[in-house]
Amino acid sequence: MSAALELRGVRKRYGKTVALDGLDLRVERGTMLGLVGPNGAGKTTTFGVISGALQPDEGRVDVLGSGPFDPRSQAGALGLLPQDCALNPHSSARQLLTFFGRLQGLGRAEARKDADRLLEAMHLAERAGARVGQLSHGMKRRLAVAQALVGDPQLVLLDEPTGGLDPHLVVDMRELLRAEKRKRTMIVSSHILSDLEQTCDRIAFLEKGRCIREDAIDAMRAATRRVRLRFARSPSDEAREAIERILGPRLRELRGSEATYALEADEPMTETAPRLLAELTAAGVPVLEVGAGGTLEEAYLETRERATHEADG
Amino acid sequence: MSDARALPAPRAKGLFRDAAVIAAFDLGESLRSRKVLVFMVLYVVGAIGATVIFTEVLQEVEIALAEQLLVARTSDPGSLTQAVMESPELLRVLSRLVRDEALARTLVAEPPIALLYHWVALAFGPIFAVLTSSDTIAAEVSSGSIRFALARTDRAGWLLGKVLGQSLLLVVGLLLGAAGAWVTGWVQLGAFDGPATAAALVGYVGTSFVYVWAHLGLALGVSQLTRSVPWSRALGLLALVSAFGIHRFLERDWVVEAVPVLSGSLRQLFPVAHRLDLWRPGLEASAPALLLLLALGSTYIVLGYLRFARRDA
Repeated sequence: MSAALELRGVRKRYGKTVALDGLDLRVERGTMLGLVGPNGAGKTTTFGVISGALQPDEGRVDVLGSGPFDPRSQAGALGLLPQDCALNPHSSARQLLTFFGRLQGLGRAEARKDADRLLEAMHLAERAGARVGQLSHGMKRRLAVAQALVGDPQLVLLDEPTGGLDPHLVVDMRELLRAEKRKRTMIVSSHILSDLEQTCDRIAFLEKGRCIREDAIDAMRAATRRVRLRFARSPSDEAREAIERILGPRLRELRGSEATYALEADEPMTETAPRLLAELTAAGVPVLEVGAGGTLEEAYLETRERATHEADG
Repeated sequence: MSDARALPAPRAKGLFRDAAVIAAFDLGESLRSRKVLVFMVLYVVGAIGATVIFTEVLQEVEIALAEQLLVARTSDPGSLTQAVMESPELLRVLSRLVRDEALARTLVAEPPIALLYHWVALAFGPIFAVLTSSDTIAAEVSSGSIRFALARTDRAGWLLGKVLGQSLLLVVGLLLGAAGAWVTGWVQLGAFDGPATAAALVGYVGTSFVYVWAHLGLALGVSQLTRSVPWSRALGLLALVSAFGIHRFLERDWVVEAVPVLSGSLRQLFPVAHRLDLWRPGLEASAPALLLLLALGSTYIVLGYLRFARRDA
């Protein structure tokens, strides 16, 4: 079966600004891919090109094995949450979702039922009859996410789905995305790497309109040359001292009940990890787990550093 | 990923279905917007005001006529309507309105309130259309709300839906104005032929709609050229004023004498050139003008679409 999405050598310019500079990206069906990059890396433009809102200057776009996305022949196949786009303000939340459902190809009753299901899932059922313009920013954001899922599309693109949400709603949104991820292919862009780390299978790092790395999250973490330590509980002051002493200058992070240790260039993981476990246990630190790899954030920073280094020569 | 879904069966979805769904939604959004409501109320109040003034003028003329005919003065306007309509004074006014004395003589048999409303709709309908619709596309592009729809339908379907939606809005405005004129006539005139006036009004709403629709085409054509709402409003008004101004210029005697064929041909490109033909009673007489106006409106929209189809949304 073809990939859910394939971009080959896609270029897009806005005047003199290069937004996409030969972007290559392949997303297999059923994957939840996180798109990470600094502002201006090309994430939003990538979504625009995939959904057909933006015309690429060069390159090949293949959505669900049928070439560039065509909303007529691929009716209902794509759901999109664009960044910084306002929903039509004068209709009610239910009317808006029903309208989008109808455009996805659903019948009137079916669209209405799907709208109610999503309003419930997004905790918006009580405000279903309120005009969109009267909803709070967080509610509008949830409604915008809901519209991307209307009609059960096969490919969903979410640009910053948790942007502007209260912390407890971010947790809800993460749960919702986790629940949705096995049902379809999803591509999510976010600046909050910990969100992506908890929901996505794979990550693509974008930099200056190119994909500088794309891999499974576990593989990315493992490749960071870090030893990750998880403790049974947050270390006491005494235990903290022991950890700092044993890990020494290679201690990269000690936060909550987790710590990371950066390996030297030629330091073998297979020797260091058991050594750290033995020394920490002997010092009375309750180690629960020792694993290879750091956080996604570390993987990202390392990849950026390497890319900059390579670009410099 | 093993649990990725198989492709669902494509949903039945055609251009006209999408256009109908978008038109219904667009009409609802427009009718709930304060801007449209204000312009619609202004239009209806204008139609009612013009009818009130007309019935008062009618009463003055009736009084003068009664004195000339040595019959009792009437305090009930409309009781001498037919005599007033056939009076030289009214014939002169009518001739000036339609710029054709022979045509004026045939129109005196029409219900006076219907004639007046036809004049109101032809004079103010284009302004109503431009004020309500010239920013409708630019506003959706500017706010980004178009992106939610373009993930589900193509630009042609979306534009067709917007054209239909704004056309329906126009019908609502013209019908409300006609209803206002009818009710005012019924209240103000003693001898008011309700059914005949209503039938004539319906016919005139039809012809005025086609004339105003050509201006709606101008507004929607212009609205596709820019993503700036203030610019699209300004361009819409400029296009309206230019259409009347250029036509008036081409009508000048010295222009007609200098380039008779060219000025005659160029005048046909402006809706106002076909206004007089809309006064002719009977569909056969006004059909060529109606067809030309429909063609002009469509041409303006298609010219705008040539730009809209290629630009980023």
